[in-house]
Amino acid sequence: MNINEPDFEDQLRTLRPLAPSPALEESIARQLASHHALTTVEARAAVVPRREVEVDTPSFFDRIFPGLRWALAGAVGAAAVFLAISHFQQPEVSPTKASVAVAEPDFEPVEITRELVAAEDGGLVYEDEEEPARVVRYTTLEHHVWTHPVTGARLEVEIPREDIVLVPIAMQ
Amino acid sequence: MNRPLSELTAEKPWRTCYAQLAPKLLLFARQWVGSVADAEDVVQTAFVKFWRHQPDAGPEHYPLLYSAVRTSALDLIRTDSRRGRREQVIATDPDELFFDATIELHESADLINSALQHLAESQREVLVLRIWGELSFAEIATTLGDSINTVASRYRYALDALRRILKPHEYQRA
Repeated sequence: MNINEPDFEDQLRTLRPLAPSPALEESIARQLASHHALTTVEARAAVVPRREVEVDTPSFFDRIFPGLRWALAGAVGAAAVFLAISHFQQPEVSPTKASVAVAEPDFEPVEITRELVAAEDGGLVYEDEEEPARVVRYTTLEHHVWTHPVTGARLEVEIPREDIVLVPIAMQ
Repeated sequence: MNRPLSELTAEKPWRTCYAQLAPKLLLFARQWVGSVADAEDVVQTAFVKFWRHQPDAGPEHYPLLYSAVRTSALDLIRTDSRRGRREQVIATDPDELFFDATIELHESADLINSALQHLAESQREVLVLRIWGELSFAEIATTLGDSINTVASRYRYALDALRRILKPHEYQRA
């Protein structure tokens, strides 16, 4: 079966692959030169070991709870209106005091924490402009706390969040 | 300030790499894309990407370029929705040779062109990398993400299949 295998290989090797057109080298030179020019202009930032990409598709939170962010904003607004009304309904409110109430600050964020719930390997992807990368999906739970500086009312919201991180694969 | 492009890049190591590998990378790219023009696009994309990421790459890194070419070729196919008819595309460009053959070797080159297209893709890429890319089995294994044994086995099958196509009479005698 394998008789004369080296000879056959040598026969194949006598053929040399076709050379590319001269324009290819010049085109590559231009692209590399333009990249070099860009990188020298840019600030020499520290090397980032991985890139966190903003995904164009809706996040897990948005897909599961579409419009909940608006509802949350509405709830905060409603709480502010409720507090303002409660101030107005007090029997003896001087004009000076009322104007102070309107000017009082709204709910203020006091705490934001983020807890990692799960990390899932999403496999390999091949991007158009980059080298192969591994998709890692991080599921986290964001915990937001607001308090009202006057009434002491406390508003807590938990938001599930999913981040997709592309970790470049070093080819060896 | 306004130095000519050739002066800016003449001393770059990628030039040496290009002179050494460009024809091999082009041949490798043509395993997936039919036309020389598409293959050159693939090589350009891969080459630029590679040297942007590894501006100080040495010869020991050159096998990675084949991985980059492979990825770029598959990306091109995916982007252009040509995956389903890639074999057909190669078959429709029979006049575009893969090899820089002299008149004496022109017939052989034509035959090998044709024979290569009859090989399974997994065998063909190993054969091309080994014979014309001059990579070791270990380097091919790294490039393709397979084991050395798998790569070596595919190479033997590819060589055998090619010989069946090119030299059927000799094969029958054996």
